[in-house]
Amino acid sequence: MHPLNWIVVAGYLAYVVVDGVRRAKGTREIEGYFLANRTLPWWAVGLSVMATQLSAVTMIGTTGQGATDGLRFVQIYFGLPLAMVILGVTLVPLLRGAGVYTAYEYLEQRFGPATRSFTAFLFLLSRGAACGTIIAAPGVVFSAVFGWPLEWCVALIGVPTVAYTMLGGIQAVTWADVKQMILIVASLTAVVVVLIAKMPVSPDDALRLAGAAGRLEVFDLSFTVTERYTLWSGLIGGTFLMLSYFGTDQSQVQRYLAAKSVGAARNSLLMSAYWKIPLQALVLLVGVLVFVHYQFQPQPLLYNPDDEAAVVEERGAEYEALRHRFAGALAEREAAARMAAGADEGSAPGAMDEFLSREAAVQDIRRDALGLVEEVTGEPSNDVNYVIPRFVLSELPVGLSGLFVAAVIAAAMSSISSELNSLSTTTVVDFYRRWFRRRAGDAHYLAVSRWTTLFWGAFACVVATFIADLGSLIEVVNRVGSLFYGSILGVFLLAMIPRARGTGALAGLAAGMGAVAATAYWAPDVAYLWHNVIGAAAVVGVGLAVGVVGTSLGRGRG
Amino acid sequence: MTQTRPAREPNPDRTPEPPAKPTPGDAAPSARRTLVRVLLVQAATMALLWLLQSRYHG
Repeated sequence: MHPLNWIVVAGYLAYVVVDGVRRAKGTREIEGYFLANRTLPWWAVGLSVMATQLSAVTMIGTTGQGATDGLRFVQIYFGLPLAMVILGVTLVPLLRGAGVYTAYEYLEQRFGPATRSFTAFLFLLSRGAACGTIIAAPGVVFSAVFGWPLEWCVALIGVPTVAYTMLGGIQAVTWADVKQMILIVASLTAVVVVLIAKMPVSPDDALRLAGAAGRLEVFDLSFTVTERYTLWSGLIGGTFLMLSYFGTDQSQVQRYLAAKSVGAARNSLLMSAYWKIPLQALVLLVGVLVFVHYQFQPQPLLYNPDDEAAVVEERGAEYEALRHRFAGALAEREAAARMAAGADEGSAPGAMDEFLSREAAVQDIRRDALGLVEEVTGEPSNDVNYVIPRFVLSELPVGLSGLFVAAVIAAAMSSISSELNSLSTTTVVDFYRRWFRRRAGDAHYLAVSRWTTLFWGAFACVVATFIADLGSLIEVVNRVGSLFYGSILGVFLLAMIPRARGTGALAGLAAGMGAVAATAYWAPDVAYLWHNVIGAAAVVGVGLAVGVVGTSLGRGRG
Repeated sequence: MTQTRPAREPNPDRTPEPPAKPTPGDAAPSARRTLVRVLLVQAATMALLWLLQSRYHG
């Protein structure tokens, strides 16, 4: 990468750390460290909520998904606006009114300490591991693209994040999130502008090519539970997923608990309700435009340099033959794309058919190359994650590449810092202060909180270093996490039903997790968005039934 | 001055009712207005995406 790009990245990293340390000066008690004394303005909290959700995986993986699969992924967010409105009138005032530090603390007020500790433990388990994957994902890509050891890449992202989160608490996290969110949107917009400016055809023709190749298909109206992204899974399963994530996951709940009022907390969530779908469409659009860009520029046969090196080493002759065929297919596709873009109304259908058959030939050769990677490495290729990094480093102007790399690091940091902050809060408030040291001064809890943040940061970095070698473990972590999500939402739904009891909540929680695990085992084709609906429904159903039986038995004995 | 929060005694049998409905009387129309506004914006966004899909459909 050009030295000017590195100066941009270094400047960003230095600014984030210095600003974080500056914020630490105003934090002297635990409520300030974890909740900013509930003084944050709605717009800062709103940007922090969005920045927490948008990780480096979004910047690298989702943009890549846009290039290979188009816009359909945006359907997953169709349930988000409704979920935000529901949370704004239910959980937000409930949690704010309860005066709690964590969402799980509220469950003790409602169901007793066992439910609180169990749900808090599930959060620590899933988020602790997930935090490692959030660092690992960009770390692995940086390592392959820059040729650095993975440990350096993990340290590049992890060390500054841990430093400012540990020192500054939620003040540093939130204000860094605000700047990071601005940097992310600015860099995405700049990339779109550059892509359009560099396009050898008009934007209308570019969109026609993308549309013909299926990259602009957003809506899948089929009602099949095995299809991963459909309008219905997005509207129904997506609503449950977003209710669970924004309503019961401490990494998000803590953002709006720090807002200065219930109204400010509500408005911060509404910011996502209005802007999340357009933002996600922008992220995917970057990928779609990169797809069109490569219709007119030579694209790599494999984007992942490590995979390419492995294949060249073991099956060099075969790969060279593929490369030769690929170069020819690319030239034919480019000619067909130019014809299709310049075709008049009469010749357009034929020209577009020709373009599509050339595009299919290119994809066939890519598929062969990816198959070769799988045979050599023994793992399915994740080449899609390298599309955007390779494009950014080889095609963007100097300075803008650095800005995009800084934005990827910013996206990783904004998610990790919120995770670390919430992991520390849950550890200290729901376990240390609840079970081990109930009465101590703020200075003591503040010191423990900082050390806990350091512990979780070190844990996440170590997990990130090892998880990359374990490949499919990342998927295991995600799958285990999806077992809990709907079920924890179910417990909070149960908490809003007056007849529900503590024993019912625990039994429901076990039943919900069991139902999702059973679905994942016996009906593995059911799309994961539906797991949230199944988990929440099982918890509420079983929880209420156990509560009713318990009450009847109690009356019988009485 | 440093303060510590009063500790709550653990009591598994305690199952208090959830707090009274959090929205005051005049909050319901406001929530309805918010819901309508959010859904209108979402409908407009989805309509734009639908237009994009149908105009450039292969």
